[in-house]
Amino acid sequence: MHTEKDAWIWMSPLVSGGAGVAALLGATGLSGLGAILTIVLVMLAVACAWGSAHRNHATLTRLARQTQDMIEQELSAARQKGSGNGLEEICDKAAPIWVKQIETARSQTEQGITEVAARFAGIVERLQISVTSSQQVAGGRDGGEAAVLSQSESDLVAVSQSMGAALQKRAAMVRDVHELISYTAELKHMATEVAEIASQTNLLALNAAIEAARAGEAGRGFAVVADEVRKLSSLSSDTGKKMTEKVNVINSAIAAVIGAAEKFSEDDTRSVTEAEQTIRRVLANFESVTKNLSASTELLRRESDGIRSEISDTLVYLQFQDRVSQILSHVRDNLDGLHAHLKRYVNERHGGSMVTIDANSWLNEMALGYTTAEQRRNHHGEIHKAAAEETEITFF
Amino acid sequence: MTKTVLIVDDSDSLRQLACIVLKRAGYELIEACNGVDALNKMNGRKVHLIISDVNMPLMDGLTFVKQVKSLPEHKFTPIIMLSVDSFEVSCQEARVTGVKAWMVKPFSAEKLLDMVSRFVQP
Repeated sequence: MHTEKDAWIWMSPLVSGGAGVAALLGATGLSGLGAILTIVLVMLAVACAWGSAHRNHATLTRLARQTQDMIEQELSAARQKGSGNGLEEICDKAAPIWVKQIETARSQTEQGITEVAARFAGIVERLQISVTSSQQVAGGRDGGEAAVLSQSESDLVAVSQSMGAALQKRAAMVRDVHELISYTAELKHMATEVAEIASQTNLLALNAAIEAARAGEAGRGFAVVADEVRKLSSLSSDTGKKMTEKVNVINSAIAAVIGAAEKFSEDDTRSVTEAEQTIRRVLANFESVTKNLSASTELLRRESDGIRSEISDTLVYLQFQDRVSQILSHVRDNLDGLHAHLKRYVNERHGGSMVTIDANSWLNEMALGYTTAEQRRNHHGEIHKAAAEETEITFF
Repeated sequence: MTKTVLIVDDSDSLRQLACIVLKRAGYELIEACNGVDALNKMNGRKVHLIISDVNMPLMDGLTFVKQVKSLPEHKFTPIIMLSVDSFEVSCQEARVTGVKAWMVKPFSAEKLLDMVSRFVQP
C-alpha cells in the first residue's frame, strides 16, 4: 500500500539527481567559483542518493513487517471467522467425546475378550477332564471293557464245559446202575430155579425115604432115586457156582459204582467251587466296570453341564460386540457428518459466503443418535464406567 | 405340543445363546438374522413368541414389529425386544408398536429363560 509519503521517498533520489544536473548545467556558464559550487552540488547529490538508498531499504523492511502483520491479522481474522463458524468449537468439544466413546468401546472389547478367553480356558480344562476320564474307563483293567468282557466270556465257557463233563459222567453212572438192575432180575430168576431144585430134591428125598422104608431088600428103586438126587445135587451145585459168580460181578460193579460216585461227587464239589469262584470273579469285574462306568458317566454329565454353562456364559459376554458396534457406528456417522460440514464450509468460503454452524445444536444432534447409557455418560462428561449396567427389563 | 420361539438378531452369538438356552428348556427355535429374513421364515408357521433385536440391517426391529402386527395370524403373538438402548424414548416407541417387553443387552442365559417363560411355557 503506497502512501504519499512513500511516493516522496521513492522520488527523493530523482530529486537530488535532478538538483545535481541543474547545478551542472548552471555551472557550465560560470567561472572557478561556479566550478567549486558544481563540485559541492555533485557531492550533495551523491550524499542525497546514498541517503535515499538507505531510506529505501528501511522502508522495504517496514513494508515487509507491515505485510506480515497484515497476514497475521488476516489469519487471525480467518481464525476468528472459523471460530465464529462453529467448526473449531465442534472439533474442540466433539473430539474429547469421541475419544471417550472409542475408549469405552475399547475397554468393553477388552473386558469382553478377557472374559471370553477365560471361559474358553475353562472349557478346554473341562474337556481335558472329560477326555482323561473316558480314557481311564476305556484304558483301565488290562485293556478296558473289551478285555474284561473277553476274559469273562472265556471263564464262563470253561464253567459251562466243566458242568457238561460232570453231566456226562452222571449219565454214565445211570447206565451202570441200569445194568445192575438187569443183573438183579437174573439173580431173582436163578434164585427161583434154585428153590425149585431144592423143592424137587426135597420131594425126591422124601420118596427115597418112603421107598427105602418099604423095600428093604428090594433096593433097586432106591438106587434110581439116589441117582436122581445126585443129579439134582450136581445141578444145584452148578447153579450155586453161577450165582456166586454173578454176585461177585454185582459186588464189583457196585463197588465200581460207589467208587465212581465218590469220585464224581468230589469232581462235582470241585467244579461247583471253581464255578462259584469264576462267577464271583466275573461278577466282581463287572461290578468294577459298572462302578467305573457309573462314576465316569456322572463325571462326564457334570463336566458336560459345566461346558454347556461355560459356552452359555461365553455367548453372554459376546453381547458386548453389539454395544461396541453401535458406539463405533455413531462415532463413524458423526465423523462423516463433520466431514460433510467441512466440505460445505470450504466450498462456500471459496464462493465468498460464510457458513456458520451452531456448535451446541450440532452436539445436541449428535447426542440424539445415542443408544447406550455409556454414550450419554461420555457425552455429558460423567465418570467413565467400562462395564455395561445390570440388565434392564421393562414390561409393558 | 412344543412351543416355537422366533429369535431375530444379526448377532450370531446372541442367536446361539438363545438356541442353547431355549432348546434345552424344551422350546423349538426358528432363527432369523433380520426383519426380512424373519418375515420369510415365519410365513405360514405357528410362532408362539418373537424375540427381536432393534438394530439390524435390511429391516430394523421396530419396522419388523409393525409388519408382524399387521399380519392377522401374528397380530397377538407376544414380542420381546432386545436392544443396547436403555433410553426412555426408544422404549416408549417400542411400547406403542405393541411390544410386550424391552430387554437391554447384555443379559444372562437365566434372565432370557425367565423372560421367555413368563410369556410361554415349553
